[in-house]
Parts: sequence; C-alpha cells; structure tokens
Amino acid sequence: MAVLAGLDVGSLLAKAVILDEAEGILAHSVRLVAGNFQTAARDVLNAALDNCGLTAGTVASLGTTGLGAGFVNGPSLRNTEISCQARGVHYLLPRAGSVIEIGDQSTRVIRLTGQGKVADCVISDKCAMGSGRVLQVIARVLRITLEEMGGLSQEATRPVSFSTGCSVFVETEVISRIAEGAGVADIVGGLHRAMAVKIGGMADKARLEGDIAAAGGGACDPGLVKMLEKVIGQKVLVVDRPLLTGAVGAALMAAESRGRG
Amino acid sequence: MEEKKKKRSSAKTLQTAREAGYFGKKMLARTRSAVEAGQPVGWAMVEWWLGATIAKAMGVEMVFPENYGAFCAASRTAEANLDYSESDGFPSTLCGYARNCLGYTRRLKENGFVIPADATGGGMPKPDFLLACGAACDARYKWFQALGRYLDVPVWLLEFPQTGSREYFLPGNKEENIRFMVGELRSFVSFLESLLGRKMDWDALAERLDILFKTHALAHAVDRLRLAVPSPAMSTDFWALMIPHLYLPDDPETLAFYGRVYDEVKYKVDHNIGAVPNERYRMMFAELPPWHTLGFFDEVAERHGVAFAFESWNYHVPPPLPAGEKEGIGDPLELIARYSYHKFHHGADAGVKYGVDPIIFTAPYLEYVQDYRIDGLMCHPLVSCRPATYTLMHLRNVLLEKFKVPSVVVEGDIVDMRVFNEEEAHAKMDAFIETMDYHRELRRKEGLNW
Repeated sequence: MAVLAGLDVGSLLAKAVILDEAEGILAHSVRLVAGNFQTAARDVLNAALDNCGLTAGTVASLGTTGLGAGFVNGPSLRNTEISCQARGVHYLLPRAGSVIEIGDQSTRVIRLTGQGKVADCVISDKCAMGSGRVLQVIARVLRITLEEMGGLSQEATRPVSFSTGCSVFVETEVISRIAEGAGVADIVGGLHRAMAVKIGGMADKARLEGDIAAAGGGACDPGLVKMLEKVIGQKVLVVDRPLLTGAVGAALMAAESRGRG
Repeated sequence: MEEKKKKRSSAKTLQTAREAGYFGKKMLARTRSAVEAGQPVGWAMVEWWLGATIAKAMGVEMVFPENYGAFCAASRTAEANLDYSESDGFPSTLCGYARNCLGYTRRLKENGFVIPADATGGGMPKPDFLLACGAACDARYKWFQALGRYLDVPVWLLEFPQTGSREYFLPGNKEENIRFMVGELRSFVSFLESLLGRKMDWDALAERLDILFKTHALAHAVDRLRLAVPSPAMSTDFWALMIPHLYLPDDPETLAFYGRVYDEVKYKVDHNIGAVPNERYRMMFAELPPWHTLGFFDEVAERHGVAFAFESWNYHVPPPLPAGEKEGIGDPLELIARYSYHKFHHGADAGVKYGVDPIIFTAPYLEYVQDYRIDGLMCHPLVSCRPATYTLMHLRNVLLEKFKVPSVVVEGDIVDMRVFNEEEAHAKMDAFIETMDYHRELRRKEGLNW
C-alpha cells in the first residue's frame, strides 16, 4: 500500500504522521528535537512508520514543514507552516472557519477558506510572550510541568496582573510575585490571561470567522484555551491531536503537489 | 560572507535602474568637490523639492542624509553608525535614517571634520547649514536639532502644511496654505542670501525648475507605463530610479537619463516584456523599503511569479500640476509651493470619495490598487518610523473592505537589518499566495474587474 507522510519539525518537537487517503491517519509519532533537527526528523518518521508496520518504501510522498524542515534528508516537498496548519486543521475539523495555532516560537491566527486554504493570517511579532515558549519558561520558574498549568489556571481566584508584555520581564516579575506570596494558580492564571489578550488582539486583526479551532502545543493547555474563550468571547474547539495538524497538512500538501505534477 | 551579501541586493530588471546608483554617488562626490573648492554645502531632508532646488540655484551643493542612510543600509555598512549613535544615548527606536546620520556625524566630528577614510560612498562632508522640513514626519523636527551635539551650523526648518481630505476642499484653505508656503520660501531665500553673502539668482532658479518639471513629467509617464500587464518594471527598479528624480530632478543629466528610462520601459511595454517571467500576481508595497534586503523581492518574484507592480507613495512624483494652476504664475517660489503642495494633496479626491484620512500614505494607494490591478499589498511597518507605519493597518483594512485586496504584514526597518527576519518574511509570503488566490475569486464574484 502507498501512503502519505508528513513531517513537522518544530523548534521543540518533531512530529510525523502516516496518512492513507481513504483510511485517514494510520499512525503518528512525536519526539523532542533535542538540538538536532536531522536526527529528530529521521527518527520520528521511522517511529511513525514502525507504529503502523510500514517501511519508507511505501511512502508515496513526503511533505515537510517547520523550522527544521530544511534539515530533512531525501526527497520531500516543503511548505510553509501557515498553509500546512490550515490544511491540517481543515482535515481534522472540517467545520472550523478559523485557527489559532500556538506553537513554541510563534502563534498564528489563520482565517480559512472553504477548502482549508489561507484566507488571511496574522503571525505573532518577534516576541515570546504570545507563544508557547513563555509557558515553558514560567513552568520552569514555578517548578511545575506544562501539563499541570491548565488545571492550576482554572483554580485561580485572583489572577496576577503582569505589568509587562515581555517574557523576559515576566520571568523576573513572577519571581517577585512568588516572593510577595502570590499563589502558583494565580500566577499561571495571570500568565494565561496575558497570553490570551495578546492572541485575542491578533484574532481581532485577522477578523476570525466561523468556528474557531485551537491547535499546536498551546491547545493542549486547557487553562489557556479557557482564557482564550473568555477574551475572544466565543467557544474555542480543540482539534483532535492538536500537535499533529502541521504534519497532517504537510502530508496533504505534498499529495496535492503530486496530484498537480 | 561576500556571497551572502551579493545575494541580498536586488539584481533589478531595468538596465537604467542598474545605472541609477551613479546619481547618489555623484551627489556625494559633488559636495566633497565643492568643499575642496571652497563652495558652500548643505545637508537637506527630503523636502519634496521645496528648498534644495532654491539652495542649488544659489550655488550650494546639497546632499541628503536620508539617501545616505539608504545607501549605507543597501551596502550593509549602516550598523557601525547605528551602534555609534546608540552608544551616545540615542535610542534604537529612533528613525533609522536619523541614527545612521547621528552616528556618522559623531565620527565625522571626532575625526576633526575630515571624512573618515572608510566612509560609505566617500562620505558626506561637513555642511554649512542644515535644511530641515516639517513634511510627513514628526521625528524630522528634532533630528537636525539633535545634530547640534556635533555640528555648530545653522538649521533652517521649512514648514509644510498638510491638510486632511475634507479640509483640503474648505473654501480658501488651499490658497491660504500656498501663501504660507511662499512666505516660508521667501524667508528661506533671505536666510540663504544672508548666510552666503550673495543675492538669489532667479534666472538660475527658473532654469532649474524647468528641468525639474520636464524630469518629473517623464518620471510620471514611466509610472503610467507601469500600468501594463505584465509589469515592465519592479519596485526594486523604482527604488533605484527614484534617486535622480527625488534628489537631483533639476539636473540636466537626470533629465537625459529619464529619457532613457522612459524609452527602456516603453520598449518593454510595446513588446509585452514583463519584469517577471510568467507574471502570476501583481503586488504593491507600502511604504519605506528594507534597503538592506532588496534581494528579498527578487526571490519572491522567482518563487511565486509576483511582480511588485507599484509602491511607496512617498517617493513618487505627483501627477503633473493641472495646467490652470501653472498658468500666469510668474513667481518661481509660488510655483514650487504649488507643486510640492500638490504632491501631498493630489489624493484628496480619493480621500473624500473613500472617506479616508490622512491623504498622505493612504489615499493615493486606493487609486493605485485599481489602476495597477493589484492582487495584494505588502505592508512593511517600521520599528523606527511612526509616520510610515501608523497608516498601514488602516490602509490594509480599507483595501480589504472596499476592493477585496488582502495584505501581508512583514515587520522590519529601513536601515536596521537586525530587526528584519528574512526567513519569516518568506514564510509569510509563501502562505500569502493562497490568500491572494482566494481574494481574486472574491473580487470576481463582486464584479471587480481584476
């Protein structure tokens, strides 16, 4: 059987999916990049193939995207993260009219066409405050895991109000707030609110339409998603397997190109 | 490293555009020769032909620090000047042109006003006066004053009234502004006469103005040739060609050069030769370009068949003055005032028609987008420039609402390449192709004819 493969090699995680046009996602794999894009891309793809008992010879086309896509060995078709996210979300959640993808390095707000193409998009500016990176930084300072943040945020009774929009200064401010006796839940709640306000501004700019889907690592944080809903004033639907949307989109776009070619 | 630098500068598609850099070098060389010959030299802001033409008619050689900033950025030598101005306390959020100039001037002073041997393009010599202008940009009021830290020379400021769309049509408003500008110019002439100890040469001024109008008529005709599909020239061509028409329009050599530009572009239009092989999309750029990375536009053209068909209201010559406005004007200062005022207000009709303000940086684009059949706008908000930035989001919204023309926003700076992320810019452009396809379909459905 011939399958489609997609690789999304991000700054933190490498994600691979194996897709069958009739049967959907057959398998996937996610692993840390750990400073080596090439190795991470190779290993994550092999792991995904292993998971469905296939070999590289069965891959009809390989689509790649992400910061480390240029390091992928062998023939592949590289596409921009924005387009891949659009295709991937449309595939996994066809009713979505808009996407908020919160990645490690940046956040992308995308308005979709009916075919899962990019009608408009806004990308966060050069600032970690609107991306998943700040969650990792603050989790480390608070000595909690990323998985714990979502629950803590929803327990916040008096979310901390940060006086800065910069992740470097937020880190300092968190340390000061801890010293002042602020609770961890209120700090995480405040952080989520600050991020949600920033992302909400992007959503306004992109004039989101229809159902809004969340994807990327940030979508795995229910506290952040809840806060986004509050700020945007609309339900935010978390895509099934939100880490895989880029890889799915990459696989689909490679198949599109193959079809055209 | 050298390879990388070559890659970033634009190859340009017109032969004349490749030659246009000569005029920037000529301007710098003439000021240095003037100093050696004991002749006066001035530094001027871009003032849309108000004061520099007058100064040149009185025998002053003029050079433009904004152009010098672009020159330094394009040759990737601006960083040393930027750093030097920052180390003297000027914040990195100040205008990139200003910081480049302040850093350069600090070095000039510390070198006893002998141009440093490694100065880009041979450098700008110490001026006898500074000509500032209040048009377009608030930062420019303070920049030349701040040069007082290094230069003890007089600063003359030319005010330039810029009215809103509806205000432009208020009874008597325009004529009052023209009178004010003529008064400003008359005072400037008196200042120069006193500084230089010589009288104004009115014949020389009239002669220069005549050349200026002829040059600009050709430059405007070239702009109109660019309406053709496929586009005969790219924005990168224009940004090179603008040097002579913006800074040296009253020079006979510029006039002759523009004749050649016109012929080259006309030939391409007549023979259906596009700047980009297989043009697929026509984009417009607003407002000030990333001078340090103009090769970006070549790469976008190559990857996606995008012709940047028009750009930068700021640098374009206006449509010719209506004949009725020129007739019977005997005072060259009034003619200058009328023409420069016209540059800033020729979009007033469009401003009123579409209900937008300010006229500058906004209204003209609403006409360009239709005339040039534009598929998408690239907005380039500048970290260090408020005037060329604060209108962009407004313009983006208006173009989308009224013409279903989408925009892509790529942040950067005119001079400071450290804040321009080329990879990210390409990623945005790659995705924007789909956005243009989608809106092309929307325009078709709405009965818009491109």
